[in-house]
Amino acid sequence: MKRRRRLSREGCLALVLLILLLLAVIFVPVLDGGRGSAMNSGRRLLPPSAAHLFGTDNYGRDILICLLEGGRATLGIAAGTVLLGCLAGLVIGAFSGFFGGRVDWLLMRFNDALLSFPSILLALLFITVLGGGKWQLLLAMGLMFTPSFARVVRTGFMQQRQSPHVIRVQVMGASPWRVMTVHILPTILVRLSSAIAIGFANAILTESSLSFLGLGIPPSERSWGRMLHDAQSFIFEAPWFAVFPGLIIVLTVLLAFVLGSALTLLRTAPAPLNDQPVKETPPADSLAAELPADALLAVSGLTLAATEDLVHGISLHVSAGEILGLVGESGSGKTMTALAIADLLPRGIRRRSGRILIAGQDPDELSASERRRFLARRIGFCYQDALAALNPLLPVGRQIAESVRLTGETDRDRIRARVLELLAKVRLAQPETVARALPHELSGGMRQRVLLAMALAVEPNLILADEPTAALDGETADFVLDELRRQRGQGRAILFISHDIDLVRRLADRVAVMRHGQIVECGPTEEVFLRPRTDYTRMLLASKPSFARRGLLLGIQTGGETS
Amino acid sequence: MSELLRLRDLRLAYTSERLVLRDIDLVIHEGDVTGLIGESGSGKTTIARLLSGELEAEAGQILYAGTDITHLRGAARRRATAGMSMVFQDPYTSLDPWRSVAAQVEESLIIRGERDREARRRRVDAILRAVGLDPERYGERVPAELSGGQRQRVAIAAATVARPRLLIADEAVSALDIPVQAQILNLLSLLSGSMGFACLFISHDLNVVAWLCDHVAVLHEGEIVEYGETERVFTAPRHPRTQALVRRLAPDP
Repeated sequence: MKRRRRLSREGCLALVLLILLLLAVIFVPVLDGGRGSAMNSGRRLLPPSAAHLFGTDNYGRDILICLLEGGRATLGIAAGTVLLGCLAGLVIGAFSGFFGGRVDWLLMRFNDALLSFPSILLALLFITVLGGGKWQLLLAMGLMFTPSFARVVRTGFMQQRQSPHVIRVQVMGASPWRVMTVHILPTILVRLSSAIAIGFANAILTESSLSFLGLGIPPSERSWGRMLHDAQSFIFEAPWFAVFPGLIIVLTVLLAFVLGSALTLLRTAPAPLNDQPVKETPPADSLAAELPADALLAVSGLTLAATEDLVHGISLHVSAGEILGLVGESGSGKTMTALAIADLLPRGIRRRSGRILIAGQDPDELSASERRRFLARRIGFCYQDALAALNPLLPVGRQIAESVRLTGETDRDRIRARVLELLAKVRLAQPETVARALPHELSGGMRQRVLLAMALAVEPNLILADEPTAALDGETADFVLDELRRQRGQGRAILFISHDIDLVRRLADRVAVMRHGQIVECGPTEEVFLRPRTDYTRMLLASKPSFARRGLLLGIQTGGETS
Repeated sequence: MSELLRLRDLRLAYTSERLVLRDIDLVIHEGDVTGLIGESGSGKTTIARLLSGELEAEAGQILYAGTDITHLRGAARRRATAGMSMVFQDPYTSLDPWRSVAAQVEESLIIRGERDREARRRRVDAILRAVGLDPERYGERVPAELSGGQRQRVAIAAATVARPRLLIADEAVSALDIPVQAQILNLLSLLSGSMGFACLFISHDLNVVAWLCDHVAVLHEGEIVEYGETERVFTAPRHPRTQALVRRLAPDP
């Protein structure tokens, strides 16, 4: 079990290299004792050699040593800038984000004012006012970088302030100071770490640009940007003079960016772990059921796998005019089974084995384009999340029309009439208005009706309904269930997926209970509910709270239901 | 039993034309588990947010343990509402992802001013055991190393370790699979019985409320349309809305 997320391999590498660079910058010039950076007219502009790896400059100084010495100013200023910007940003952002209201308004307008200035211009202004020099440059750049940090911190605080975990401790009576420092700040620091690395890279670039322009570090001192500035006049005569400072800037900035993006990945909280699957062998007879002649859907030995098996060789069938309820906990493989039937498995999950027959046809025997048409025509899919299942930019009428076209209808007027008929069929008042509406203009219940209309538009043999009522309130839910019953009456086969055993009991003719990718029990609804054959089903039934079970512990079997 | 929480004529509007809550009256006595039922948009969570202080009512009063906390803010509110705690729907966002289970439960005691480190430790261990998590095994884990049900146990431990008088549970079992939901409901029922705290249990699931609660209030479009003892509400509902809800519970023939 991984306790906390670790830095990626690239991130570690970048961190190690940056630390090595830092050590070199600190110690190599000391060890060299000022010999390399001393002027010596006897070795002016020597090309790289064993004695001077990066060559020498116009005063005969060793460029490698100068770079390491100049790194002190460049990296020092960058670090100082980030530290200053980060601290100021933390204070501004924290107060702004935590207290909101007028404090937020004032601080953010100040922030906007800083942001709306081109940052170089702003730095120039400060340098003009404060005069040139290392410390002035640091102060100016620190101010320049404050707003971006303040934004990150503010957003973090605003999000955290509304998170259930923070409200929870506030209701317990935690003081604002404690909430800010103990409960919010640590999460912000994780978020900030990537901003710091990226800010560091940007600060190196800014220092270099300013010094290159002759505005940053004064000529008496040395930095990477300053060296580039000095190298300008010798670019043809001694290209190495400009190339090496350029290279080291690019390399350092790249490393900081790599580290930054590796840190970004750390910021999301660790992903939840699933419970370990417990395998239960299904009773042999439930799977050996003979396939009835009128089965519109038959699945046998279906195994789905990502890195490990998600669904283990399940078999099921649904006949014409029948509703099969597929119940199970989240993660049991219900939805994946439906997606596999419709050939809509997400990337990364594949069908390892198993056959699927739809209306007697094995889609695998068709060519890819034939299969798409066949499945689109034979299967109506009813999703739980109607908003996600609709195209947000197309009027719903046009989306239904697309489904109607799959039936082979080409006449525009007839398609239009059919769309309106379908909308009326799912009891949407004013079908003309609804047809012109975009998905977001409809309520959740109306969207689910539109989705149902789309599923019915193709006159499918098989309807796959994946928790179609989970997000709906009473009336719309009842309507969807009634419509599914009507469709059953018209001879369609329906696979109804739900976690709600009461709902399945009300609707389904047969029930399949799924757990950890296996069907543990399958049979006629009343038989499964009254005489469950597996401990799991018994436990599931005994876990359902109800008025009748008041005073009894849940999940523990009582005599009446299991006999 | 004495009155712990009273909502009197509470009213709130998000926009001028639509009232979110209209004249809410509700009383919860010490130790009483009251269910608040309603469909989405009926105003259930708004009531929870008025109690937590996230929202402020436009009219009416919230009396908690005899103090009017309707417009109290800051330190005065924190003092007045000592003994209130909350459990939320989503076990994944209601804990700090970076801190250990024991530290988060202990935090409640620190907030409530328990200075003695040893005493805190003992109480954290005791409550973790009470919610069915072995402190040795789970205490030093971070939430990511727990399942959804275990996280909800931690949230309940954190909410109850400091002996609350009122627990506000907002859809606390709605995101859980049925077997896990059953365990959490058993736990809530046992804890409220043994520790004697009152509970406002907000839910859209009638079955859950019918099983757990002593009293039920039915919220419909911002109004409490029915209130009474659970037995009475489920056997002889008076308001048409409640009648429709209860009818939907019975399996079709």
